[in-house]
Amino acid sequence: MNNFCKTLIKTFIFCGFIFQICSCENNASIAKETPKSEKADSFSRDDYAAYLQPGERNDIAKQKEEYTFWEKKLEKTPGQYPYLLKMATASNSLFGLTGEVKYLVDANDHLEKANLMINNSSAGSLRSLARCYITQHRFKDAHAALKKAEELGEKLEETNKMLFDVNMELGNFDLAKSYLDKIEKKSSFDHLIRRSKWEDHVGKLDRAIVFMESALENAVRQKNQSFMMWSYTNLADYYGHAGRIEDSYNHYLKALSIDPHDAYAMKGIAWIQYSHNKDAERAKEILNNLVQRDATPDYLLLLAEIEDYEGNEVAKQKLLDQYLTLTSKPEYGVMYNKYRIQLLAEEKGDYKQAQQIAQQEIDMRPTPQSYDLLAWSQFLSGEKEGALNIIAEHVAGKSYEPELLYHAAEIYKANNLNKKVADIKPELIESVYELGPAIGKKIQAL
Amino acid sequence: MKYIKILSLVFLAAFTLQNCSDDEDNTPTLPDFSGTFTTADQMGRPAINTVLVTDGRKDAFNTTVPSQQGAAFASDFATRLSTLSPTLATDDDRNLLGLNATEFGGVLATDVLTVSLDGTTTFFDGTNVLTGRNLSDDVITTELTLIFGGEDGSEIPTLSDDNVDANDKAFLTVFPYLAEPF
Amino acid sequence: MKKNKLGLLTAFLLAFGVIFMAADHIEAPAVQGTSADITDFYAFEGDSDKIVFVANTQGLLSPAASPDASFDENVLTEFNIDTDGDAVEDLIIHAIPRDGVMYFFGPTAATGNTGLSGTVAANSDVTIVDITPYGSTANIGTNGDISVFAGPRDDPFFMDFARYGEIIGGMATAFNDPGADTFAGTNVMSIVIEVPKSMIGGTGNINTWVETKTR
Repeated sequence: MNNFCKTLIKTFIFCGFIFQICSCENNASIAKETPKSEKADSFSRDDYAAYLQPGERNDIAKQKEEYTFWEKKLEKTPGQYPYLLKMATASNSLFGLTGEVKYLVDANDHLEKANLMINNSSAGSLRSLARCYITQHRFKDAHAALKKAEELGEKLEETNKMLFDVNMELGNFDLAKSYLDKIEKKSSFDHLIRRSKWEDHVGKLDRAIVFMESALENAVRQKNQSFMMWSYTNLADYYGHAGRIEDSYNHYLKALSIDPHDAYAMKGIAWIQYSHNKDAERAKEILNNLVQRDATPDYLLLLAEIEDYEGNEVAKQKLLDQYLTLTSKPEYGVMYNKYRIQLLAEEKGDYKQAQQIAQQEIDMRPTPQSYDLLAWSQFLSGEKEGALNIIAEHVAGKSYEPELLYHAAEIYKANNLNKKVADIKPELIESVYELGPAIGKKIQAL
Repeated sequence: MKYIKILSLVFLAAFTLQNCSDDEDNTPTLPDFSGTFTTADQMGRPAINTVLVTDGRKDAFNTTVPSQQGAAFASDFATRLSTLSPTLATDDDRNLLGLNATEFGGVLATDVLTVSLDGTTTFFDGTNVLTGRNLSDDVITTELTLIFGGEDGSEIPTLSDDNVDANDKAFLTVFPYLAEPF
Repeated sequence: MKKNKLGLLTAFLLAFGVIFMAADHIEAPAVQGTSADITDFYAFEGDSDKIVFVANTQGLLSPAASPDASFDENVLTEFNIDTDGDAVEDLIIHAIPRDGVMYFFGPTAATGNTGLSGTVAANSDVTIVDITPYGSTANIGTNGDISVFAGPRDDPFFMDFARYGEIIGGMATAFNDPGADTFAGTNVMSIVIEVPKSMIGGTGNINTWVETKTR
């Protein structure tokens, strides 16, 4: 919320000019396309060079000031649980702005304490807690908090939206759909983005894009900067899935024009430079820049992949070790399980630990994605029949994610199910951009 | 302050924008406010929903028009009052206004604030009851007293007063009456 | 079977692209809803022949957060006035922000605009005021005898809200003495309008309530 307000002012200035022009032209849309294809260099560094040095940001200092204000009030009157909620909100923003996990832990502690003080009697506080659990990938805990909120019923619609999110994560897809259908305002931003997610889940990427575009229009109409940011970056991701790389690139740039500090959009551009433009140097420049100003571990992993692509084994292993050490910190809990499983199995040959964590993931959320991780780590350890059984029972026909399809294809191939491989292959070829250049080669070889 | 500058920039942009769409005769035109608006929240008397609406019905209370709230919520309120407060447990138990749980629930369920156009406006000042709501009225203690105070207002003193009696900043005697922000 | 035997070594890092392209980011933005939440409603005699209506939203704003707080342009604030005691509005006042200005319409007949949905009464008399930025002297808009204000103010509400929550949650059985004012030192977004009594019924009692409506 504060986040939103903060960016609001910034962006108003930024957009003031644009709004003006649009209004004089009687054109309501501010999302104008600049046709990138007319440029000589489609993905010119000039497009985003400014965002490599986005300048000083006062939002972090502001959130710290906000945190201190409530902290001081709480010291004076320790019983005031609403102050704990305010501190958690500030911490949560700081986690988003810096990537430093200590803020997420702090938010979690304050939210748990506040809910305890009032014996879970406020739906709003329970939703805040659930949201924090979701960020930490503690989906069962999130679900439990939301079920309590559902009983209390204050702003049930908000609870229902989150129950959709959590049930999707838990693999309860039918139940998730029933919560989606309960949302009354079908034209609301909150409904559109969830409908979009649902369409993507059932493999209808075109429709997912249409709903996300409607969500963007809604956000623009509301002048809601944080929603606009969210829609631009998510649309950029979807366009990438759909092979519309220039649209994807332009939408990351649009997000950056609203918030020059947005690390997610920059990361997206790095991916385009690497996966589509095959320009590893530009991609690395962006990622090394992000590592300097954001504590999120993810950049290390992409850097490792690029080093791998360039054949720099030593540099790659160094980055992977850095990543594994960082993500094993207890503060991260289970947040990076997925990638740890894959790294342990693919790079470190530690199949036992990989399968252990994969089993833990399945216990936490029995989704096709979790089963895929177990199947994949079994496959890598040589248990190709076991892997095939898991794929057949829990993954095939239940997910359309290219990554899962690719894993399935390799497992089919190892089991000599060549017809099944041939069935999947065309779809995989369409997903080469999303899966990256390294796997592109593997797909051709299937 | 920096923010003021920023904000005035915003306004500048806003006004320029308006100028663009102005009619030729330069009469300022209103922005486009078209569209259907639907109730999200409503309030008459302070804290009624928080205190008296049972779990699971708070959303419904916020979107039931006041003229229908009585029929829909009076009996709920009565039950809630008698469960919440031992001083309103039976039909013979009455509050400071001489109302039992059923009667009091009936009054509160229609959540509108009555305002006198002729006399003193106050939530409760010792003499006048529910003739408005001033900024300085200790409305929570009034409501707690009516719920937990019993017939003489003092039956359960530990629940009849939150012991916060006034705002922490003086109000203005002139418009807009509310104190400047901290 | 070892991974290098499969010749898949480089392939595996593939998946990390997917990390960036999918899954986690779909985490939806926080569910909203605060900008339409009414924290408080006041109605009292201001000048001797006038009534003041106050609608507050967005409570517990710290001084640090106040400069960035704003009114949501999709939220219409409706003051309802029932002049004949049937709890159905006879008159309404609308307040809606746009580009830094708060537009007040009315008081005007509620005809066609009673109940839970409706349109902005933009055809009635309008009183406008620049929304007061945090840190500035209050801007006051006038139109005849009507005065209007919109912007951040000290939250006039006072209550030991936290202790109340503990009691309702079954975690405490009595208020503290002295209590602590949860809202001390905090601000709120206020919409204030003062109108002559003659425009809202003249004499007798009115029933009044405030609604926020969203588009």
